[in-house]
Amino acid sequence: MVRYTIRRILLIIPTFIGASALIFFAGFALPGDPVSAFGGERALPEATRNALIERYRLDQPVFDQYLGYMGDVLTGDFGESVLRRRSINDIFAETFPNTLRLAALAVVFELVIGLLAGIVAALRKGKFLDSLVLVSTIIAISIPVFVLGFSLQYIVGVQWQILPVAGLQEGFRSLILPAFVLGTLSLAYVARLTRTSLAETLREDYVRTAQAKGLRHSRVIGRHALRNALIPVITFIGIDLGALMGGAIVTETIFNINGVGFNLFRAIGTRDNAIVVGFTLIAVMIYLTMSLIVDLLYAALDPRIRYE
Amino acid sequence: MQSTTRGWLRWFAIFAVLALVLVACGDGGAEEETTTTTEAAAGETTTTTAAAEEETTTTTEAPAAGGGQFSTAISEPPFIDPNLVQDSEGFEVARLMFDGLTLYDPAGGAVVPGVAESWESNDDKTVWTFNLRDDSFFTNGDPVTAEAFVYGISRTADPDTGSRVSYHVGPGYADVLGFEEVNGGEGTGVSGDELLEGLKAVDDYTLEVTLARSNALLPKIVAHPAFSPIPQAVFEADPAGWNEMPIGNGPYKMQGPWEHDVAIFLDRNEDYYGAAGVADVIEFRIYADLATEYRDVQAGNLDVGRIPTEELANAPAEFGDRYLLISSGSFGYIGLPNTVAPYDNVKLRQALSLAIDREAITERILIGTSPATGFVPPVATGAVMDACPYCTYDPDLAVQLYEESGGVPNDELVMRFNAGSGHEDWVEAVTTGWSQVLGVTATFEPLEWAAYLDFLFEVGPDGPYRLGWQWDYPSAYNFLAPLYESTSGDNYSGYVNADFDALMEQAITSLSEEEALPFLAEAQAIIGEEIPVIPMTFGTERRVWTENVSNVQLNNFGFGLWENVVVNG
Repeated sequence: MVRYTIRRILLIIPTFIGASALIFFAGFALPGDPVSAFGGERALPEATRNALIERYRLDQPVFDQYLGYMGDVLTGDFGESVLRRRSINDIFAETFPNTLRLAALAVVFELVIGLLAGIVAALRKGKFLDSLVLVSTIIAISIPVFVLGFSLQYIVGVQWQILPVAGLQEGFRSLILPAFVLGTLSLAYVARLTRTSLAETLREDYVRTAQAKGLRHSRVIGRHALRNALIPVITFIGIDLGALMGGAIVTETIFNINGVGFNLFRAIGTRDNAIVVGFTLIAVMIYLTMSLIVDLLYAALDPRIRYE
Repeated sequence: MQSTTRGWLRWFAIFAVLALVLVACGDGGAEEETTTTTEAAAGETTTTTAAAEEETTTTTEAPAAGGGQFSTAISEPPFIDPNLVQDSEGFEVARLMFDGLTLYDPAGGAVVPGVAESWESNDDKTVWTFNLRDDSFFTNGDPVTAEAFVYGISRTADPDTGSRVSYHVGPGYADVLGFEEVNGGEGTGVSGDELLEGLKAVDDYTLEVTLARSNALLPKIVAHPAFSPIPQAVFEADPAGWNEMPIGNGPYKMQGPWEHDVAIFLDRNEDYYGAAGVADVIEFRIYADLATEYRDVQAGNLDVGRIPTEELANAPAEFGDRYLLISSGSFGYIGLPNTVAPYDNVKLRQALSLAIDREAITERILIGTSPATGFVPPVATGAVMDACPYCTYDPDLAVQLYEESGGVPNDELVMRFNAGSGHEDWVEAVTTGWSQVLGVTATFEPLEWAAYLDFLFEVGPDGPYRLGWQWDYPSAYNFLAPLYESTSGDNYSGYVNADFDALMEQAITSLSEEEALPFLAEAQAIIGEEIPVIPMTFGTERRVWTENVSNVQLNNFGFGLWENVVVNG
């Protein structure tokens, strides 16, 4: 177990170097450069242009720039945005907590509603409730995020005025709509996954044995069946949380949440390479960490799984 | 059955606990705000929380009229440092925090005295003396002296500042003596350490500005935030933090550091020398998406907001007298590479312009903007109405001129523009018009912003492209010289006309703005005939607001006069 963990952690290093090189050099393959992007529609005076190019090491060969950048990254400095003249660390520190809170609440929605719907559907297999869950998850998967976001904003925020339309000014209340919208897609997957998995498990011999022993129905399902049935669901949610922490572009933009995804998206559009590279690197690290945690959790949940 | 119900209950209990935890973590600000009703009960000790007290510090001195707090919306600007503000959003915030030598009048068409009570110049308008008032202070208490202007203006010009608006100080604009030496020099690595030769503090309250050549428009030009006074000691104490919370001398000051992508709060500056702002606190809430912003106004969460394209048609009816539309000093055009065949043929340029139905496009797609009838928006001094005889829709003449010009190779042309900025629909309308009227195959190609800039400035356009121009100061000169003078860095179409250049020279060296008007008019007649670019639209600005506020005004820059907004009781 320990050896496995160490090996996985060591594997992060080449992945990280590969990802960073890929992102860094891809940025240079695109036309234009950050200093021109800063200048915009009006020509930047030559001296100003040169001063900026020098300050951001853009006059060096690409490979030297990469080495210099990675040197800074090792000391924890992810660089500075040319267009905004702000430290990437600062921007990330501002935005990540928002993304994290949004992701956490979205996962809560996924767990509560998704699991409930999945369990109900599995227990009422073939009945009305099962069909209802089936139909609603199909609808949830089919509606584009921005349509759902705009509609909920208009109905809940403007018409009923029971929740804020956008922003984070009202704390938890502000998070409910965006988290729900963000969680919808995965919520539907969780429901379907739980239903399939639980329905399968309920047919297992050991469940029948537990029922034959005269255990309470709730105990059979809660203790014996669910625990096994949830392994694929936990995998999905763990990976999903990692993805959600990389930011949610559409949801964050619609709900005006200063998060990682929105900042990354804007940076790509404005050619703010420092933000793109810095944010992506951090997101890669988070994702790698999350998938490691998920793998380790397997062993905790299922005694049959061992890492040697 | 019974047991499953209990299972449900457990899940709900878990959810409730998680929800409570998140409430405890996240909420707070909103509730405290509601408890800050300031009752001036004399002698009574207040029992508000520490957080609430912080909120109320701004309202301790209740003004006779006005007061209150309102919110308006901006997009995240890169800078609010006045020497660096490059977009209207940053401009709007900086304008309230910094008073320059002169100020735009409420309409935005002329200037009125700011920190300079009066100004005069020598006969050939090369040396200007600004007499400063002695009662303007930075909000840290330092007096606003002539040195603060010398420092501030020089800092804009310094290449180490890396300002995109340094051109305001240079040729074609103010053209302060010594600009080239500083701005074109090597730089020292430190922002603001090189002073311009042409700026001289004669004494604490007299600023002498020497220009490289005559300029009668200087008082208008220096109203831009690029010419703001800067408290040198404050900037040098923390250069990195300056843009987060600049210290100025305007009617409002920052309440706390800039909350990026969230909000900028401004408090009224109680020590301001001029007319005090009406509201106590102005919140510039930062939005990423216009549709969200608009919906927040509909819901009453945001007091003043802009309107997304898809709501332009509905907004007037929905908001009634809480809707404002003004003409602004912006000009949208289709550029043509004047030096590249076949676009060097003036008849082809005229034909392309005549084949565009601007009326229909502004009515159906660019709702609210006006069709351009010339090269200078009517709100700018010196604009000639109908300066563009080829800006009407005349398919027959268009075809005739197109035939005479010899047309484009293979009758094919591609128009490029920047993607994702709302240009898709009207560009498609234009190219469709060209295809139908001229019988060519006109297509369009959207490019990502960076790629588009590369196409414009590095590769060089080989066909029509979209651009716009926003005025820097309210004069026709600012729409003409930068875009069509052969020496201008912004003349992307590559238009060269010696007569036009001569008229620009005569206009800028005129001894008054009135004297320059005939030259500006003649210049507009020249380009009206030669169509170096195809004029499309004159801009407009709009706002809607809730019943919470009144007296919402915009000037011709499209900036709200937020200092005048009244918060309804």
